[in-house]
Amino acid sequence: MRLQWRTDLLSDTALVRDVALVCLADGIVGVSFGATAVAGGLPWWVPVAMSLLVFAGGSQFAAVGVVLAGGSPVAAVAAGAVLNTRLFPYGLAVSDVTSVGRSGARTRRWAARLIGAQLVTDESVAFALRHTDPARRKAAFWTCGAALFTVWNISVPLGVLAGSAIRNTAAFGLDATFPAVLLALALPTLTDGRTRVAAIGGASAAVALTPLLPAGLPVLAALAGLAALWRPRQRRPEPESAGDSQAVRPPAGQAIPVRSNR
Amino acid sequence: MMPLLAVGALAAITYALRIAGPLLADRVAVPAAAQRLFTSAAAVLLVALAATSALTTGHDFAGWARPAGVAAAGLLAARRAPFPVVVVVAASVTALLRLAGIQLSERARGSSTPVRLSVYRSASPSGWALWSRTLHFSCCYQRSGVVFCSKVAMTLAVVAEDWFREGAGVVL
Repeated sequence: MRLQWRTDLLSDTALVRDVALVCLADGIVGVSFGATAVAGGLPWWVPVAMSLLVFAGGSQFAAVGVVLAGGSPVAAVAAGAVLNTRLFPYGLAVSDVTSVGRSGARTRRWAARLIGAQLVTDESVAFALRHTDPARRKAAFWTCGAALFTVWNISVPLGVLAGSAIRNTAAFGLDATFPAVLLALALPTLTDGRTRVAAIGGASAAVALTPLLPAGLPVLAALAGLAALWRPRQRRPEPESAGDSQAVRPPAGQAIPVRSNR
Repeated sequence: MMPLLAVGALAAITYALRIAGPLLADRVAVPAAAQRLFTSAAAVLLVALAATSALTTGHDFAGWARPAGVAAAGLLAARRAPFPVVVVVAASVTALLRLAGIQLSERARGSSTPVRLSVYRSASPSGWALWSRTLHFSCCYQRSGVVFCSKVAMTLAVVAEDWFREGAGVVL
């Protein structure tokens, strides 16, 4: 929105500046990811390989968090995979920019498409969707994606070095950075009330179940909180249309304000 | 071996989800409701993971220092503080509270005594604190959810009692 009145040149420097800020923030996330993973006892190559191959901060944290809590690898992969389902609609939304242009050879277009897919992240998609002009969408996506991939895969090994250097992580409060990072990642997505209710309900269920269930499962059980998103509309269209008795009216009347809330 | 397989599996699933969008873009349209559900599922998982990793270690309560640091950081994040500030505040609040004597967790201390805030140790037990301590001792040898709940209840009672006293002192 802010960029609309600017000239092309200015908006390009603005793009570089915004991408740099996002990279700085994500670099710090990367350092804390690497440090958390090795401080928790994982071998150094696990966070490094994950950053190269998975390249999705939230799910990397989720999978490592489940493993560090004593959960099984299956639960860890499941948690990470569920978090990454949002990449599918992201890919649909930016399908026009992940390939580099119509001019190149067919193989080159395919190579670009395969590489571009790996660069689909929250940030690169958000940058691409800020523009409507195809060329600028493409520039925003590739600039942000490539810069993030570079910064992420430098900062995680740095974090691994830092994490293996610090012996007593609890004394420095480093165990608190992991939930804090997750919270900071999640808060911007809690935009509407129903998602907030679902998140709070799911988190309460997960904490309550932690003493009872094997590690890793309570977090997945939190998905039950999604039931808060269920809307009681479209439930009984038949009585509504046939509604000759007064007893059917009140539920139908209640359904209307719910519908208008959207 | 296991971590290698897990990393590989997560990487494969993630890449499949990424490439599916561009490949299928001409053929499918994700309904808006499904898209909202994906976003909400991600938010719910992240918050749940934040809550469990802030409050628990293994099957036990993690002590108050860590959740306090996370809560302070969460408040800052909600007020859109820069990311580095959020991370540094989480670590430093937790570290300072531990320095002040708020314990890590029962298991980390390697004892079977109930979780206590040593800051409040001077307060003479009375009322709620005594009640909940009794509750705690009555079931502290069961390794079950009851232990966790009683620990939380007891610590909350001690804190609440102290806050009430301070508040009453200010009013009077």
